[in-house]
Amino acid sequence: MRYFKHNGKKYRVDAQGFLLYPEEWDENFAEGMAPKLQITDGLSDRHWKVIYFIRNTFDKINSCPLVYVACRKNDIGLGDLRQLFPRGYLRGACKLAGITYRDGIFQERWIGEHIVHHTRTYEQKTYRTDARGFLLDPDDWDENFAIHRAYDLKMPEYLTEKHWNIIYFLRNRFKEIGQVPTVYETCEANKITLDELEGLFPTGYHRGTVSIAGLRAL
Amino acid sequence: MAVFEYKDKTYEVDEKDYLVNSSQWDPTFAEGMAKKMGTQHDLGKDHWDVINAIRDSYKETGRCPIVYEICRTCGIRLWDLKSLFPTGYLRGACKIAGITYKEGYLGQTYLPSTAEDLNVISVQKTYRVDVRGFLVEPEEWDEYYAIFRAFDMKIPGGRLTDRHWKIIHFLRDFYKLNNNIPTVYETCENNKIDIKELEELFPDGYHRGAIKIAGLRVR
Repeated sequence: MRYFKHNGKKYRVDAQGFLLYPEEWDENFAEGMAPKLQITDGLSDRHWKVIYFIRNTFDKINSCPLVYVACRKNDIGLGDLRQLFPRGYLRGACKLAGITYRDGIFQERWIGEHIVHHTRTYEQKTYRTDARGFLLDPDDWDENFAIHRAYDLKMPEYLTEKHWNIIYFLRNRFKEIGQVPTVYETCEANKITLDELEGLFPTGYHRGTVSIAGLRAL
Repeated sequence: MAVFEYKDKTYEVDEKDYLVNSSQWDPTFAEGMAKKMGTQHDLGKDHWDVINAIRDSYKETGRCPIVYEICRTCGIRLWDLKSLFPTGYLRGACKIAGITYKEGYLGQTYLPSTAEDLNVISVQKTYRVDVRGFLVEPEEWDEYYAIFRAFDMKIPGGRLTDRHWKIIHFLRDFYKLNNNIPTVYETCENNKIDIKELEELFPDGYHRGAIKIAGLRVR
């Protein structure tokens, strides 16, 4: 485990000095990190405004705000942001705020009981896909893959129990029969109509459900 | 390359008998493939309605219709489809229609001028990604990776334009030269755009949009 130390306090960070756990953040962290990010004269009110905007937004929506939003809401241009955080938005402002795109996003309800990842070991994992994002080896699949794939496909909501039931059905059937069940079999076995399937997986059966389950029929 | 022969005609197919070039399709292919797949009877009107709907939709939109759309268009239920094409939608109806999700999919306009036929590439290629779909190795990037990520993100206008490609290639060239990813400041400055234009081009974000499509990753 790497640590960043300032004024006798220790923070867990990754190899690049990004804070690993947003809840460990305090102003002392930001003040200590600032000189390493080309901010030489200390943090001014204008810095704090952006830093707290990022933190407060994260508290509200559980996701790191985009640079577009940060500029708009703080009524500053890119030139202003650059003056404040010369190293960049992610590598400057967000780093000082202790929050990046890797934090949050998935509310508890997205994840439910299907996730085990507090250690964040899955950050290191590699998945092999084709150009369309289908897994090449079904054994690479895990729940984290499903959740992020669903998110990437802009599913209208989070993955509910209904989604998981179907995802696990597909995976179990695949293990049993060595091929992806047809859409008929999936609907019958799960006692849902095609309309309901569409409501759950609007991007398609193969391009949605099957892809999220880490499978591929061809 | 495998071939499928029926009634003195020859069609190029892949190892699973899917038609390689959808423009080679004709009704004879459909009849022959249906036979090979074990359909008991000849193709009837209801079969042709579905097959033609798939082909018409593809011609119109440049992508293979989703099973939901076809059932709606043809006014049929899932079990009707099942009795017509018991081996599945993709593996039955689409296969006979000579069009699957691998054809078109994105529409011709998505393709950069340098891209070759979609069918030729990438189908076999492997990309190693992290859980969020970011490439792990920037060298594995190609334009197809970019196109499909943009498609997943539902880029406005439905395709990558020259303006997108200019930025994507800027990011990659910069990275190769400096072994470092340019900040959002550098990218906007060098491409002479402001942040609003960047947002229009990549609404998913600078890092989560542009950088990801360019096959890079800061952390």
